[in-house]
Amino acid sequence: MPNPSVTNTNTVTSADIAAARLGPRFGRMDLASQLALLAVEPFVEYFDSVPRERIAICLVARAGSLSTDAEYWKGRDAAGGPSPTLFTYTLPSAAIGEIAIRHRLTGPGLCFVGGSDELLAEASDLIKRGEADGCVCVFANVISPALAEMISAAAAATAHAFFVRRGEPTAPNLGIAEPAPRS
Amino acid sequence: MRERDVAIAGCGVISAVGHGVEALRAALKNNTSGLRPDERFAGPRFQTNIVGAATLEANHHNPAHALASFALREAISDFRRRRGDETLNPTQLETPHVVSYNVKPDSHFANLPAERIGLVLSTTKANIEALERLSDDRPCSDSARRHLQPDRLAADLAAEFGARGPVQTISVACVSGLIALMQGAKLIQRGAAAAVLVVGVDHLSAFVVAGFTALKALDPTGCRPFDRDRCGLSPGEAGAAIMLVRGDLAQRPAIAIRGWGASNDANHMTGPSRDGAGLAQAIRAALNAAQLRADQIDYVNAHGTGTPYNDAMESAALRTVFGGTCPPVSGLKGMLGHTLGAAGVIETLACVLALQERLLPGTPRLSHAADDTPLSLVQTPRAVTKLNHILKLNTGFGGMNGALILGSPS
Repeated sequence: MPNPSVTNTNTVTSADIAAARLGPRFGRMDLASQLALLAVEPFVEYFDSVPRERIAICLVARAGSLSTDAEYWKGRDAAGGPSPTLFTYTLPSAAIGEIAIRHRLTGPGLCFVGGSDELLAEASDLIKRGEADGCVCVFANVISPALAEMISAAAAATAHAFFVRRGEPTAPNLGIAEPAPRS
Repeated sequence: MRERDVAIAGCGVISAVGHGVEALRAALKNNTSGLRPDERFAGPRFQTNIVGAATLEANHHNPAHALASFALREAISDFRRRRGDETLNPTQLETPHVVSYNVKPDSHFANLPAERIGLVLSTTKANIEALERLSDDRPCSDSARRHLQPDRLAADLAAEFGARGPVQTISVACVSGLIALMQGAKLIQRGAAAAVLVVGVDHLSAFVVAGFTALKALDPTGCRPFDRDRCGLSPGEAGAAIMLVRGDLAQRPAIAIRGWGASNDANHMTGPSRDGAGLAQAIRAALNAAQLRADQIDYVNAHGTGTPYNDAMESAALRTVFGGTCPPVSGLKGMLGHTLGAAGVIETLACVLALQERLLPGTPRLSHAADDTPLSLVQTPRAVTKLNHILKLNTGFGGMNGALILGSPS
């Protein structure tokens, strides 16, 4: 069986959000989901080459959903309680759901919290094992300025995405930044 | 046992029904519910104060760490006991806040090198106690602050318990536990580890209970999975650990993970698909991986949250896969509450006990089965003579579905 092949990486930052035209639903998402969804857009052409139930989504959420958690929890004393919409995004894996819905991808979903080491290895493993024929990979790193101080990390708002599928091996430039220093 | 099988070699748990595996075993036999009022969630801010709380030291700064540590300690003790290395001292199970050990980490695994032991943590909100404390300017321990990033909790647990192999933190909503077990099995099957400690943990927090209140997703009287009057879930907390080992390293006879499948509904962020197609896809993938026919499944342990849509969706998925001959099915969230990131691990652990006891677990708090649920719904536990394969299901926000098949020793 040929090794999985990897596309080039697409990188987006918060500066790209304002120009995005991904429909009204996009505006209701948290920043991590917006970045992930936007980062995946260039790979749509690949989704028609593989049955969509055979496309997995593998996400690494560098800091989990902490920035959204903090934003949601700010509303704890509001009349009516915290936002139910934001609560939905206090799961690190929320972006998987949004990507799946937008592109009707019904394959397996996998979300790691922490560094990006697992991303390519796990995506390739899903394909080698026959659990999927393609895998959308996203590394999202969202740390709001307020949170950055709390966890002693640098503020960030980026997402990198690439697509892995069956094919000849390639040597991708994943372009994934080093994780923030650990305390 | 097949060459690629991954065996279950040790279990540990703390939950609403008590400390330790034997407490859970007793609850399964007696169909006990651990749901009860909890004063922390009284008042108008929360839809209900009926939750599945584990007994922890009051005002704990880092409850997720305590729950996970407790479960891991028991699982490793169980592993060593099965190998004849250790006699478990029951007093070790009485202090869930204790995180110091009398044995050096290297000695935990007898002759298994620590570099060949991995750890996979499953959680959704293990870090949230620290966020609440810091947001409210309340005292917060250094460890809780450090564990704001859950991958650091996994790293610290691995260091504490002497697992120097691969360490991963999985967070896939309420399917996290099943996905973590799949990851642990994959690490073993691809040779990255000889054994993996899979630990699922989530604790009760105002953050989570307020969130489900905002979604109006809680049953004010406590959840009633598959009941005609069901109207919501009950939050719970637990730490549950399962030690997986390569098949040839297991003490025989051993219960094994036979196969799994995962899928996404691609339908809605918080609501399941109405037709159960996504979950049916995951079940079929699991059957295919396990090389089993549908009629070889002897029991289904459902996700069974007690929300109207989830339980109806699961019933539809079971009809799709099994037709009119659905195997016995039941759900345990009326016993344990919905333990989120721990759910897949603790409910799989319950399935391990069911296989050991040849017992079909019941569905605690079920009074009148809904019309749309399978006729094979098990209300109260019953012994059976044949119980070889169990299908475990979980679903979650973001349309996630997971299915895992356990096999008894062949």
